[in-house]
Amino acid sequence: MKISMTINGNVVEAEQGQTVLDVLQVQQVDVPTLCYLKDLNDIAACRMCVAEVNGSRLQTTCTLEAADGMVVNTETERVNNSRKQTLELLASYHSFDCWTCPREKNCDLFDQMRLYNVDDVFKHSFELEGKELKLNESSSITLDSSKCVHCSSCIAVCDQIAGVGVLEYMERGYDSVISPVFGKGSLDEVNCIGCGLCTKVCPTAAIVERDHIKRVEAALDDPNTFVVAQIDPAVRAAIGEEFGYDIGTPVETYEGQIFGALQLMGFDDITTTNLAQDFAVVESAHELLHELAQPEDQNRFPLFSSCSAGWIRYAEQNHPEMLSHISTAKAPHMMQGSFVKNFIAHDVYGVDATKLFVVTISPCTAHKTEADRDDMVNDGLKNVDAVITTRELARMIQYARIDIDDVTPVTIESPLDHSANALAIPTVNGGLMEQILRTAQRQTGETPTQEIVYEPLQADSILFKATVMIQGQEVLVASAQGGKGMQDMMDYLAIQESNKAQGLPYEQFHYVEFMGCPGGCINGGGQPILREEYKSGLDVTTLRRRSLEQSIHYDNQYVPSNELVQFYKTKVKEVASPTAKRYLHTTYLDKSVINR
Amino acid sequence: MIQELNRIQQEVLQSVGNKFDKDLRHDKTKELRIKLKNAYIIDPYSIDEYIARDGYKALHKVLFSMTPDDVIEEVKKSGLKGRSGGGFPTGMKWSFVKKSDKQHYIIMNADEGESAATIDGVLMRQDPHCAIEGMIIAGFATGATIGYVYIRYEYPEAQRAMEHAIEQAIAKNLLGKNIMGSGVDFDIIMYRGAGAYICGEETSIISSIEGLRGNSKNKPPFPAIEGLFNKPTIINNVETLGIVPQILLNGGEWFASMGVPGSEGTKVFTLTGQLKEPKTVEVPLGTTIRELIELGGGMREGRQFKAFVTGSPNITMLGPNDIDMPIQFDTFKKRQVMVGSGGTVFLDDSTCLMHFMHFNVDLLAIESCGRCTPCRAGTRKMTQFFEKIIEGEATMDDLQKMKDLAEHMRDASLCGLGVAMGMTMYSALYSFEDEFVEHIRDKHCRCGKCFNEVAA
Repeated sequence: MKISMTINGNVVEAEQGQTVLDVLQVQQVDVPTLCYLKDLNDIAACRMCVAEVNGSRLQTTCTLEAADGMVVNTETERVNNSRKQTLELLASYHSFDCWTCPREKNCDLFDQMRLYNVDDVFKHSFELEGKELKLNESSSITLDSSKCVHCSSCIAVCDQIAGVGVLEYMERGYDSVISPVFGKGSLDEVNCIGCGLCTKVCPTAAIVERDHIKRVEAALDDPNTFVVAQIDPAVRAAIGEEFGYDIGTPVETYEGQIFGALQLMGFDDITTTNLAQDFAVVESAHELLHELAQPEDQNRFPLFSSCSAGWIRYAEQNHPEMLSHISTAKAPHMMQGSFVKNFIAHDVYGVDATKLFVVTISPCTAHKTEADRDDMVNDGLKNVDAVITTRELARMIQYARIDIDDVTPVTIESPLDHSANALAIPTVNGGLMEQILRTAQRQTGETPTQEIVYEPLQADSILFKATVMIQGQEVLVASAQGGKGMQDMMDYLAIQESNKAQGLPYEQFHYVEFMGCPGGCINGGGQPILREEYKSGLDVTTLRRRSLEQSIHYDNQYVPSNELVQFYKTKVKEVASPTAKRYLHTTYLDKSVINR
Repeated sequence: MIQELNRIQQEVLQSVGNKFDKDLRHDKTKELRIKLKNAYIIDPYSIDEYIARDGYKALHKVLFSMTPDDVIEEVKKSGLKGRSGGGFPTGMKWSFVKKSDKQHYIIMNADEGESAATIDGVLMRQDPHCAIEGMIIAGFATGATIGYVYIRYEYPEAQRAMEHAIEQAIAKNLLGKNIMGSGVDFDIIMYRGAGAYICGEETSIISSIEGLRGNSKNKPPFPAIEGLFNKPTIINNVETLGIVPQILLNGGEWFASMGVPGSEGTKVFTLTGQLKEPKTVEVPLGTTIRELIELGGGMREGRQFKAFVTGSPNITMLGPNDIDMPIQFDTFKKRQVMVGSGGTVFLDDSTCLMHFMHFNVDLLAIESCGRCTPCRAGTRKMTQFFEKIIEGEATMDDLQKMKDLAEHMRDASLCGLGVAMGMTMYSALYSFEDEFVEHIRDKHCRCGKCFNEVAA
C-alpha cells in the first residue's frame, strides 16, 4: 500500500511497512548510520540516524515505521547538533591512532566526524581515563575495545549469519566491552570458527583480523629467507577494490601491477594456488570414487568437503561424531605449502626447504588459524608460515610506499601457476565440489557434466542440492554456506539419518560442500570491506564473480595439466599413495571441549 | 464463591478482635492510607486476613459482572496514572492492547531500583495479595493469562511473601485455572532480577525475562503492541496494580475524589534524607512539600530545608522557594520535575549539592546499560564534569557544556535513564544555578566540602 510522507519539505510516496530510514535511502537523503545493518541489527544504539518526526523528540529512523502523513526533517539544526554531539561523545573515548590503524581509509566513525566537523569537546578524557582497555587476540581475530563504538554489528552477524554467537558485551555502561562470550579470555576458547564476518561489519577497527604482516615483513627483511607468495584466486577478484577500482573490474586491469608490487616488496617468487587446487580436486575425486566402490554398509557417505577452514573448525568444535566423514585432503593452500617445501624447494628454487617461507595471500581469516595448527607440519616444516588477507596485502603495499598506478605490470611465471581446471570456480560456492565431480567423471572415462543444476533443499532454504551421474550411479550432492547454513545442513542430515534408522523415506547424500562464508571464498572474511553489503543488501558476491568471469576462460573438460602429471610421476607417485596421504592429507581432532 | 469469601471474612473478624483497629504507624490526621490500608495491620502470610479486609471481592465483581472494556473504562474514570515515574494514565495504557489470539502478558514491575524508595517493598512484604489481585484484574482487562512478577534481587523477604501468597491464592482457586469457576485463567510466575538498576525500565525487564542481557529496547514498538517474546505486554508497577482492586470495588469516582484534578488519588512516598523521622507515608496528591516535611518530623535540629529531591539516582529537585508547591503531575512537569516512583530525599543546608549530584550521576553512569551512545558516554562525561567542579578545575565553559550535554541526552537517548538527565540538570540549575556558579567561578563551597584536594 502506498503512503505519502513529507521529507525535508518534499512530499514523497513510500510503501507501507518500510522504516523511515528505508524511505530516506530510497529518496537518496544522506543519513549517517553506525549500528544499522539491514534486517540484522536495528537496535537503535548509535543514535546517528535521528530525525525530527512530526516535531517530537528526536526519533531513530532505523526503527520507526513510516506512516501516512508523517513529516520528517533530517537537516534541521537540532538534528545536526544532536548527531555532532553523539560523535563528540564517541570521539571522547576512542583511541585515535589512525596512522597505524588497519581501517585508516575505511572508517565510518572517521568519515562522519569529518562530515559533521566534530570539535574536540571532551579533550580531557582522550586518554580514556577510567576505561579498562582490552586487547583480545585470538588466532584469527583481534578485538580492540578502545576503538569500539558499541554498535553491536559484530554480535548481530556472529549470532545470525555465522550462527555461533560467540561475541557479547561484558560489563555495563561506559565500561562495557565486546568480548568472547562468558567472559572467556580469547575467541580461541569459545566456539568461534574464525570466519571473520565480524571484521567486515565493524564500522571502525575494533574487530580486525589477527595481524600476520609483521611475520611476513620479518621474513622479507631476512636475506637468508626465500619468501614465496601464493595467491588465492578470490584475492585476485577483489584486491582491485582496495586501490580504487570499481567492484567487478576485470582482474587483468590491475593484476599485473599487484604482482609487480609484490616483486618490489621483495617476494622471491609469486605464484597462485592453482596447482594446489588441481591436487585437491584429484585427491578428493579419488576419495569419492573409492567410497562409491565400497559396499553400502561400509562406505562413509555423506562425504564432507575439507577446503573451508571455517567449516573444519565448526565441525571439530560442534560435530566430533562426524569427523570421519570429512575428506582428509588438506585445504589447497596447505597442500601447496607442503608440496613446495617437501618436494620441490631444491629443484625449483634451489634453496633448502628450511629457508623457505610460504605466505598465503588469502580471502580468509580462518586460514590464519589453520596455518598455525600443530598438525599442519610435515617433517618439522610448517606447511604455510603466514597468511595475510586481501586487506593486509593492500596495507603492506601501502606501507612499502608503492603507488600501484606506477608499477609496471608483471606476468608471473611459476610452475605452480599452471592449471587445467577452472581456477575461477573454486572460489565461488559450489565450485570446488563441481570440479571434484567432473574430475571423478573424467577419471572413470565419462564426459563431465557441463552444467550442474542446483535446487533449494527445502522451500526458502539457503541450502542447495543437485544430482550428478557417475558410473551409472546417482550421486546426490549438497552445498551449504555460512555458519548458519552449516548448522542447518547438519540438522537436515541428522533428520535424514534418523529417518533412515526408522525406515522412513530419506535422502542419502554422497557429497556435501561446506563454505564458512556466505557467498563462498570470494566474499570471505578477509576481503575488502563494503559495509553496504549489510547496510543496504548489496550483492557483493555476484559483482566480484564478474571480475573473474570476464577474464578467465575455461572449459569443463578437466584434462590434467602437464605439470600436474609430471609432479605426480616424479614426486607423489600416484593419487592417494602413502606419500600423498602423508603430505597432502590430514586428520581432524575432537575439539568439542570448547563448548562444554 | 462470594459466600465463601464472606464466610472467611466473618470468621476472621470475630477471631482477631480489634487487631485491625490498632495501627500505631498511621497518623490519621495527616495521612490518607488506601494503598497501605493493610500494611502493618494484617498478617501478610494469611490470605484469610486479607479477605477479611474486603480482599478478592473486587476480583469477584470483575469476573462475574464486568467486561474487560468496563474494567478499562472504570480505571480510566479513576484518573489513575502510573506510579513508577512516567505518570502515564494506566487505563489508557491498557486500552492500547489489541485483543488477538496471541498470548498476552502482564508484567508487574517489582524491581524497585531507586535507592530512596521502599514503596513496592513495603506493599509486597506487608500486603502481597493486593498486587496479585490487581494483576489478575489487569490480566482480565487486557486478555493476558500469564503474569510475570519481576522482583528485584535485593528483596528476598518480599519474594517469600509473594510466593507464599501465590500458593495460598492458588489453593483457594483465586488464581490458576478457571478462577472462582468463571472460566478465566491466570498464572503468575516469579522472576528474580539480578540487581541491575536499568532492569526497572520496562523494556529492559522484557530483555531480562527473555534471558538476554538487561538492555533497554527502542520504542516504538511499544510493549503493548510488541513486548515480551514479541507478544503484547502490559507493564505496571506494584503500587499501580495494588490500588486497582480498590478502584474496581469502590468505583473510579471514589478514587478520583481524592487528590486534585489531573492528579487524582494518593501517592505513597518514602521520606529519606536529613529528616528527623524518615519513613514511608501515603498522602493524597496535592499535598505540599512542607506537609511532607512535617510528616517526616521536620528537618534536623538547627538546619534549614534546602532541596526536595525525587528519585535517585535519576534525580530531579525543587529548591527552598518551592516549599509550598503541591505535589501534582502538572505543576511538577512545568518545572521538569518527576513525581517519580515515590522515593524522595530531603536535603538540608549542610549538604553540598555538587557532591550530592556527583554521587547520583556517578551511580547512573555505573548503572547505564551501555547500549546507546548519549547515555553510555554522556553519564560518564557528566560525572567527570562534577569531579572537575568538586576539585575546582571547572570553568564556566564547562557549565555550558554540561547544559548542552544534558539537553542532548534528553533529546537522543534511547530510554528514560538517559532522557532524565535533561530534567536533572534543568531542575538543578533552575533552583541552584547560583551554587553552581559559586563553585565554578568563585571556587567557593558554602558547605565547605569541596576543593579540599586543592587546599592540601
